[in-house]
Amino acid sequence: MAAEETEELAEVKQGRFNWSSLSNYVAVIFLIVSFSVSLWRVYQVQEMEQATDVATIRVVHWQLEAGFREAFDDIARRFEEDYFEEAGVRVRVVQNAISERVYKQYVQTQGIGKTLPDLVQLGREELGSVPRFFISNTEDVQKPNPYNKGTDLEDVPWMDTYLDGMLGSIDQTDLEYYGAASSTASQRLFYNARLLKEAFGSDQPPSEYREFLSVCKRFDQWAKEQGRTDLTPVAASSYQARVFRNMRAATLFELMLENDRDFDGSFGQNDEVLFAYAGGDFDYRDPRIRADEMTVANLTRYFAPGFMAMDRMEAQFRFTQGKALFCASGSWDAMSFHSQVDFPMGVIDFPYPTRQDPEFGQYVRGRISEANAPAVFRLAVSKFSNHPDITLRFLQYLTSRENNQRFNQLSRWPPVIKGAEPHPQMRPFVRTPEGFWTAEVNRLVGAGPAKAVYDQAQWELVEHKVDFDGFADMMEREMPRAMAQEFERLLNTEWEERLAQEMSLSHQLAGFSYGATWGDAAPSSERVKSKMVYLWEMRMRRYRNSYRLMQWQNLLDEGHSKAQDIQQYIKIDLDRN
Amino acid sequence: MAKNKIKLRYGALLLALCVGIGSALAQEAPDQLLGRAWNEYGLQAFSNAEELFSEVSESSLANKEERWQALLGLAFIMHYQMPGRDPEAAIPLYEDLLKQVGETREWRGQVLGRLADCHVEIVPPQMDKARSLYKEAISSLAPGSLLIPETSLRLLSSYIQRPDREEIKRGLALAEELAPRFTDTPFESVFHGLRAEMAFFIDDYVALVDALDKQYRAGINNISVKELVLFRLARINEVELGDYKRAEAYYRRLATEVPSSQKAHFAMLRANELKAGKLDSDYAPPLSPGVKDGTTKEKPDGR
Repeated sequence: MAAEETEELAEVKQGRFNWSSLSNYVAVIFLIVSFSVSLWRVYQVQEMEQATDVATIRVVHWQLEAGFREAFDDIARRFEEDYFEEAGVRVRVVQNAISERVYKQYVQTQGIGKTLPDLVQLGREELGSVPRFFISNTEDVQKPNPYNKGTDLEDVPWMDTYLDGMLGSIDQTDLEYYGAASSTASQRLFYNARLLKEAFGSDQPPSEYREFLSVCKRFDQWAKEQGRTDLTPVAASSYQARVFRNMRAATLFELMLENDRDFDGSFGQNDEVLFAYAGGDFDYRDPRIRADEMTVANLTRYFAPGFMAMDRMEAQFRFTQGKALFCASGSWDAMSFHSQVDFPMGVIDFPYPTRQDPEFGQYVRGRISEANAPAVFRLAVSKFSNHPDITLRFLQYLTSRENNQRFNQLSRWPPVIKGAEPHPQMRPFVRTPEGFWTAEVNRLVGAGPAKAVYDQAQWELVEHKVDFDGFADMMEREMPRAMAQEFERLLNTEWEERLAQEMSLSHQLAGFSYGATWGDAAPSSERVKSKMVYLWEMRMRRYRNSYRLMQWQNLLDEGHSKAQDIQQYIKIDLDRN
Repeated sequence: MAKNKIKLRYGALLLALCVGIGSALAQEAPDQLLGRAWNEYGLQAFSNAEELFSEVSESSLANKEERWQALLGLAFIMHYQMPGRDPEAAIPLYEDLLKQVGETREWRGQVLGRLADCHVEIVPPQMDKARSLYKEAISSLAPGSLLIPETSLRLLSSYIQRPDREEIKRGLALAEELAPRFTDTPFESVFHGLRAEMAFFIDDYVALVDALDKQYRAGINNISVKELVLFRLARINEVELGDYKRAEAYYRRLATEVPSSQKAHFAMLRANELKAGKLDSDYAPPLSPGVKDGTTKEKPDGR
């Protein structure tokens, strides 16, 4: 060791270059420069933060999709300029995109700490906390959006400029409007036009269900003939398998109307499923259910083996890498797909079965309507905002027809304001309101034992471990027990939901009788009245337990064997309900 | 020495007075506290609300009515908080409040109504007791009070909570009697909605369409409820009553008044089919052969 040091010293004395020392100097210089740049950045941020002549609007959301933040920045910069011209006030809009995984926790902790940013994206199970952390804009949505001036929406209330009438902005806890959405969402089929041309000489995608199946089959054969074992007709995981359920046509429509005892058009995920099933009016061997289930099961033959265990991103990666002909996803992925693929990509509506379909045609009544497509990217003004008026102004700016069109064209999302045109690439995502409706005819409640039975049977069916008869056998075997459990849950849920509404109503009743004595918090008596009426309108169908018990007793008295089967699994005392 | 003592006493008194005034000034006004308490209650933050109501009930600044209201807030928490609601334990609290309520009719009616609610909600429910309390509440309220129709709705709803057809029929008959109370009130539409539920429970389709039609005409706030009512009117007229002309009219109303509905497309298709006399639809199940055409026909003279 001492000898080495002496050698080094000798080299230096002789004026020879030492590489080891140089790398140390470089590292130190690099460290100093990096630290200085960081300090400078921190200083700049601090300076901006503390600038008294600029109002900073902070926005937090979880949209990390390609192009989204750039589109938002574009609108933000425009607002900054326009607002300065309009009000003479300098504004700076800063967005912060946070991963979906931690978003919910972030909003909750910031809300409790009273440090929420000015504008916050809603939609991550904040039910109950919205009125606590956000400012209601009920009055504002009933007035025209000032940024629609000069258009035919000039005198239209802000809420009515929305395709969905802004229904998605109503908070069910206190029935007030919170925030405003900026986009809609829909799901479509993506295809690789280059592979299509390579395999078939034409890049025209299939327009109908049987043609789609045939294309998948022939592509599979072609890939094998070419020795291209890396190719698969459809890139899918269990996630995409669910998205492909959009390919189903309205084959259940007649079954639903036949068994719709209260004539409201809904059959599925309600008590009518139990009564119709127990009364022998339908079972899971019904050819209409077969058509509904097999529409998707026929497709999964062309999915990669083991797709149910595959990850969503893995399947999408397979498609963007050019290893699959088709993939299904939502409008939110369109821009990412476009930026990742190096092949011409097309987007089409799902080629659902038509009335001419040789197998399912007699049950098809048309396509499923997308009138209920949800409004998304809903931002609300936080109660802790330093500039709530400017923040609301920005929200109105973002959702004027002109800016909503611009924002959605840049981000490649479908617009939510009436008359706003989407980007040409997004035209296939524009919702189609014409059509019929369908439902889950295999359950009484949202996520109970009957859904678990169905999920298990459907898994086996789409993985082709059983055929449709096997699927129906599984359903018939397990449904009596599952329906009994769901019936109990349904009876209990109605009671609890009514009590929850009763609590909200009690608050309004207090406001009605004593609100005038509440100082600054005195509510408007008109608002209290309209909320009371609204809550009663919602309550109307929460008295159905007595009807259900009468119907059930009738089925038992009439001696229906399935009703008897189900009854043996009912554990609660029905007389007490 | 004695002078010093007196000075000291005056000084202490003055200090106590200052502290008293200071602390009184520092205390939030009871009306503001009540506002905050009810706000917390509305946000379902029951422990915060309880703290604030208790503060008002013990505040020296609060007047008698404010203290009474704070006690009512505490009774509401006992009655409605979720989880942990306990209507049985709320009964004595409401009964105590009734003793102190004085002559304010609105307030008395309110407490009697909540007391009646408790008797409906306890296990087993005491419907007769509840009904007599609802009636007492209604007679306590000042004429024209909005709480009269609201409490009447509660009285009527007590007839559809047990699986008993005869009781539901009695409720429907009572509804006929109570109908004038609802005319031109904000609850008129809701009242007919409740009648519709009763008629549906006992399969009285004529009464059902009458009630639904009146519910619709009285004005419905919630667009989803309006969609539901119009669709039911169209379907019952078509499928149960065979009144195809009315069915067509309701289908058209649905398509035009709720165009954003998922049912609007089908409604328009079916309306056009019915107009063209096509009873067996291309979209809906065939009509039962038992359903006779019940459409009102024009008389030969055109009336």
